[in-house]
Amino acid sequence: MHYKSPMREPLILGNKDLHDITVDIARPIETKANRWWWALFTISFAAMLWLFGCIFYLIGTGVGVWGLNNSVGWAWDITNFVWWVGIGHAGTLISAVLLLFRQKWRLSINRSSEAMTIFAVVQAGLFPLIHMGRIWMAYWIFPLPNQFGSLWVNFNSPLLWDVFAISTYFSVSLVFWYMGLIPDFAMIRDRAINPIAKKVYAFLSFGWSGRAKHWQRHEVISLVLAGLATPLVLSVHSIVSMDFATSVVAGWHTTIFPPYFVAGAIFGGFAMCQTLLLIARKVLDLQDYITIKHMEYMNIIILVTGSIVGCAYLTELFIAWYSGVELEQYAFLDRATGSYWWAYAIMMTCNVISPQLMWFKKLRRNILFTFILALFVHIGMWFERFVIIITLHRGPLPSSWHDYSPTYVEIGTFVGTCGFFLVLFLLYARTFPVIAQAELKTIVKSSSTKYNKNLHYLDKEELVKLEKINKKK
Amino acid sequence: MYSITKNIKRTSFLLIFIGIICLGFGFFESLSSHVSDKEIKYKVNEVYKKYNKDLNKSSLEDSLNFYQKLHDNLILERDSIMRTNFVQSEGYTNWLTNLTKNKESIEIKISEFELNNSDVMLLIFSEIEKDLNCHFTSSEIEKAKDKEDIYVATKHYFHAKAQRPWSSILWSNLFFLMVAVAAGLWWAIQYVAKAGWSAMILRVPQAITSYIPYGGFIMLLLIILAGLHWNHIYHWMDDSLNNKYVVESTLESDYPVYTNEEVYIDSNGEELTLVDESLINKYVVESSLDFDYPIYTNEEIYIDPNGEELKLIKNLNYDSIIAESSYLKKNSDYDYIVANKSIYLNFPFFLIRSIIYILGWIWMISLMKKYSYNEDRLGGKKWYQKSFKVSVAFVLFLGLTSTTAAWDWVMSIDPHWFSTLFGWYSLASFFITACAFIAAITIYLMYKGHFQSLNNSHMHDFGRYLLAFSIFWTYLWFAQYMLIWYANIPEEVVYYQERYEFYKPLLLITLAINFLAPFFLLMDRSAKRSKGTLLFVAILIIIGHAFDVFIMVMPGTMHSHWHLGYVEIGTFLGFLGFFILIVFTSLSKRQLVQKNHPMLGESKHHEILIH
Repeated sequence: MHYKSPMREPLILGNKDLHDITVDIARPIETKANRWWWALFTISFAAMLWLFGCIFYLIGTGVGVWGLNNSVGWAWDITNFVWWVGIGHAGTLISAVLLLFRQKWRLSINRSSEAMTIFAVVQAGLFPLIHMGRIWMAYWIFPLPNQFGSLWVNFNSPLLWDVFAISTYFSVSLVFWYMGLIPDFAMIRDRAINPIAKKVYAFLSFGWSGRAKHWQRHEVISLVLAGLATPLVLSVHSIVSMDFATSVVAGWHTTIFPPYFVAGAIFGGFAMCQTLLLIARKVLDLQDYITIKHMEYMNIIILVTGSIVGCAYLTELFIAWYSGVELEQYAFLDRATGSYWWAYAIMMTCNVISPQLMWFKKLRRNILFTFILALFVHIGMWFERFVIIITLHRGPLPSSWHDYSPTYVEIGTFVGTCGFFLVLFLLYARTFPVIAQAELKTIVKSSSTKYNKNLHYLDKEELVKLEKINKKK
Repeated sequence: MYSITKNIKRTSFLLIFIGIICLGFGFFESLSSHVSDKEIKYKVNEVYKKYNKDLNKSSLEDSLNFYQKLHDNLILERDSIMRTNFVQSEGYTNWLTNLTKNKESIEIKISEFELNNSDVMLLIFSEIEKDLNCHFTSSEIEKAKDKEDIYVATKHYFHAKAQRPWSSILWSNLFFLMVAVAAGLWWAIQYVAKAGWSAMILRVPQAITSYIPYGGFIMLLLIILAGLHWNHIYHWMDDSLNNKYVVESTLESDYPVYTNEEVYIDSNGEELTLVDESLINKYVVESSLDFDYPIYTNEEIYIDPNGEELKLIKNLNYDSIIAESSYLKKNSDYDYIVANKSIYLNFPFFLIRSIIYILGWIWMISLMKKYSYNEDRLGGKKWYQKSFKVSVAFVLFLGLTSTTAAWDWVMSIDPHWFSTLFGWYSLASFFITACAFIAAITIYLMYKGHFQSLNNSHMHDFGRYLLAFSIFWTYLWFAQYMLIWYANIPEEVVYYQERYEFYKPLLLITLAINFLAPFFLLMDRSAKRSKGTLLFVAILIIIGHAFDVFIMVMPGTMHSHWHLGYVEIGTFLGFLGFFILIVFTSLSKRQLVQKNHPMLGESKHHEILIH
């Protein structure tokens, strides 16, 4: 067993033993959903229907139903695409990078954040598809020989790199997620009373028996997949950033884009983790596993990545001046003071200034504050992409200057994807084990309050207080 | 308790000795064979005249111009006739055909002539090489078109020669200084992230940071000497680039007086103003009178850039009272791109920034050191929490200053060029080197019988650091390179063009050592857990990133006239010796393992099971 420094805070509260964990995590699957779940599900489902309505209208009529024009040739579609892809990154970071960094706190949140990754990538993937116009030709994005009716793809185009990056990312994330789920599905299968449920979970768990050999292979494959997923954390959003940065458009072509997009993606992704998990821990009664400490860790990552993003904004501004390139200088002046200055102001406030409040430990550990700040980050990150893309409205040719505003179809599509995302997540929360219980059980001996009373530096009274605060909110 | 061995002392003193000798020779060489700009100008003029006498390129070009003009006028005339619906006149067409024929034959002559011209250029270059004992690259000879190009090429050679020892100092010192700072970052991150595994070896990065005051001092010295124009590392410090006007009477002196004001008050209290060229020159080139900017001169003979003498006539606007007084003249060296940056890139602000970086780093690191010593002496978790706080502050401060320091100390060497990623890229380079130094020094001490409680799992973590950050560095290298290559914008791509043209082998070797070597050598789990492999890779990375810094520093100061000879290598070895001496002296001051560190238990029981 690992030795734990007394400096470490406990990660599992509430005096839980191994059986308690099983019961707590199987509970949402074995019981019926409450009214809150149904209410949320109904709203999300309605939004999802709206999404599909908008998509059918769009495909039936043409991309003209969006507010695009000759100068702003893509706007909300690419904004939403980048926003959703970015959100996915936190899941991969938690499950892959934090695994390599041996961050045990990831064990309570990795399952849900990976689910979030997959559902977010699904939303992201919708946008390029529907922007194509002729969605039935979607297979043309793959390098197929000419006799299939397509033209051989342009390998110089970062949009094609996107196809490869996103599909690789989606498949690796899905496999990684599923690998972790197998032992947990087996646990549900073993407890299931309903014969149909038992059959379904038996199928899903691929005949897992819990033998030592199974475990050993499971751990090895987890490590290999973590190794594969780690470069993906960096590569996917780097390639998304190259959609812009390889161009010679002022404000887009800048070398800092790849790492800065990655930092922004992690920033936005962790905010989405906070939003989902803050609700899930309450609704599913998992406060003992997803504790305030977990929230604090995620808030620290939001603080760090938010500051990195802030540095990148300032670097861009400074270098635009330093370069002496007039177009570059104008692009940034227009961003900050032009007709979309409010978008820039929202971006700066939500992404750079408000996360700085996380320097205060009290705020970091305040659940309501965390929830509100995460919403701020969603807004800020959405506007970051919008600010970048709307640079197009003031190109180098003044006769082509053209402002842009969305139509109800674009708004409906975006709101609809949020609904679709929530529908998927809500279904997941009632049918999947939302915490990787098999993995979590490995730290019960070292990091729970039941077995390791002397290791954390809190004394007994403090611990009681902590448990209270943790439960209350 | 470790104490510095005689062997290390001897080795480092030997290296320092080598460094001093090589650097001394470097300075001797650059000073002894120095040729001033004036001498170069004189020599180039002389040689150019000698070879240009029997060339009549300009007369050919003149006739071509004449026919061209005539041709254009005729076309215009014909068009206007056609437009007014006159019948097309046959005479015009015939005339035009004849003219076109003439023009073609002249063009053929000119192309033949240019073939000869490049041969002449070769002769001129070889004569200058012989007379002044210098050397030109083939691309310089190929690109040279006129006298000015020859002059610039010769000047660059001698400037680079004078620059050589200074660039070597900058390269070596910057490398070790920033590695020491990055080691501080590594150390601070262990606290910020509450890392457990590394608690036993924290004295190693701590010892490396001891170099910061020494390296910082040398860096500041170098900057001050650059401000005094002893060296010319930072091209933008040159007054002639930043000022629009120059005092005419000082132009021929060694220190011309430059100004940006249209009215300049000199040391005698006299007001100098910018005057029109036509007032201060006695003669004007007759054939240029119709131009927008006629050519004026004070000489009685005017030879144009092609070596031909042009006819002069008296300038009627000449005003002897103004001409004999002191006045301002347009500065032909004025570089508006550099001048526009002068709010940021000016010597006082530059020096202040550098002092802030260096003092800030020294101060925070000294606090971290103090807390770690106090923890040893007094114990208690209080010191750990204090270290945590100052570590957070250091990471934050370095997060900002590493970028600006990279802009100041490195990116401004190429003052026209800019890249938003540069700060993070150079930090990644120094950070991986710091990881390599920490691993190498720890493993060396293990070989010498210290750090008995370190096991394979600790090595595994070192290996992961080296592998992961090598890949990270390559990622940033590629991001910067690929985006600049892809967009192919002249003001950006010039950076890599120079490096690709003149530094190609070094550029490729750097990529191979810094990416391929760690990637393939450390991919395997057992390789990461083996001390020998790790030490080997760490040394490779140190060498590879020294080259990386070389490619950051040298092209902007030495351009095509770079060397990797005894001056550069000797200086680097000297600094290496100095660095080793300081680090190992610092290591032997306190015990190697912190006594009361709260994570010590985790570090001692560190074990990586499956992964």
